Amino acid sequence: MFGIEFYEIIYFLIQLGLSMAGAAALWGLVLTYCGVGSGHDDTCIIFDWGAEKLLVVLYTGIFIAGGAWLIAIGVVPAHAHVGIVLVPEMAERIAALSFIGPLFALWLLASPIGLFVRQFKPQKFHKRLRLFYAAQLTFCGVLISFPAWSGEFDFRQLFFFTHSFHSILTLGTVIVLDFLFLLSKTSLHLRQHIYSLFPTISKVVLVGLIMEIAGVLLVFDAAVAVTAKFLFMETVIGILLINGMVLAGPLTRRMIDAVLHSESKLARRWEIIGDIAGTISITSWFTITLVDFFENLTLSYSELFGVYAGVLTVAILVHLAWNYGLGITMPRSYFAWHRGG
Amino acid sequence: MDDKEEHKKHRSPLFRASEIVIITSGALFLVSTYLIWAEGSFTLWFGTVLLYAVGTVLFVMNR
Repeated sequence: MFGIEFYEIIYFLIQLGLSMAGAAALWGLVLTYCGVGSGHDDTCIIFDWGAEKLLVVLYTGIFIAGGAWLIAIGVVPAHAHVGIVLVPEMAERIAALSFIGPLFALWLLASPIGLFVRQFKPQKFHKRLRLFYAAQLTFCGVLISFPAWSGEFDFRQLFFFTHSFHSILTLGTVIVLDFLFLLSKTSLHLRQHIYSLFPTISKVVLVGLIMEIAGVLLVFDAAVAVTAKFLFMETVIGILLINGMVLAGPLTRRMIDAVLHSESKLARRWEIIGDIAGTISITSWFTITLVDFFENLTLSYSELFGVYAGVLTVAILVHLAWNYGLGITMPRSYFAWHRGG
Repeated sequence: MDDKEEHKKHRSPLFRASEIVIITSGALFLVSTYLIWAEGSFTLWFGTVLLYAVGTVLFVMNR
């Protein structure tokens, strides 16, 4: 349908899962460092709590990437055998599947051990949380770096690396940002600490986009063709830059201002605007990553933009509805346990 | 937590300038997309990418 192949959706899901898991590991690691840097006060507790909560994003990512990878190793080579005309990229993708296959399998087998230890030895797990996130980041970083294997480390392979790895810094990080934003909703105290991280997170997203563009410039002639898809993606990037900068700059400043001075009405107004800007950001990154996987998309520019606008509207409404029906609170037992340990 | 000090840094002129540069590059991205469609010209696109890179470097270094 619309020129979309089943295996392209599977590859997108691998990319989505790895970028979520990689970003959760990256920011989990950062939060554990921020926590230790603050000593054993409330800031430390909040950042540690945030790091623990990111396990939800991490394991969701592992589940998505792992499930899609298991389907990919069964389905994609079969596609190749039933006479589908393979463009070189497809052959390179299949080569990458076998190239990183053993590492992927090891990652999937080893990851549940973390959950097991957390369940039965929570204090032990917490003490090694930083090491756990560092290991996860290494795994995800390597796995996402090889979406395709050209056979040698040339500009083409470097392009594959930047084109894929940047998702940890962009799509995955935007998902983590949104998760932390929603997580901090129910407590002014949480917001006062977590909002202060937002400018740093936004910088990483901007650097991720630079990484992607630098990769495209490496193989510009081969990578760029003026199609409806290309023009649509450039438009969304323009929207992302304007929205991202407004979100990272003036909006975040207002939100930090409001929560620092406990102006709840003002904070609520800016948070609603922040909600909308955040949803534009996450939907746009999701759209770019998804559309990029569809090589022979038959939709015109206006059709693509219409679908994007429709999805964006629904996403904003769902986000606002979910946001104001959410009730996550930090359990008191966590404070007691943390201070005790 | 030195939130207030952090907040002040946000207000530095260079930081503000970097924000304006990146927002401008976003708007120019849209214009350059139109030019690519209408005339097949990538000149403004390359200029915009350069402007965005400069804006990002300024934005990142201001912390």
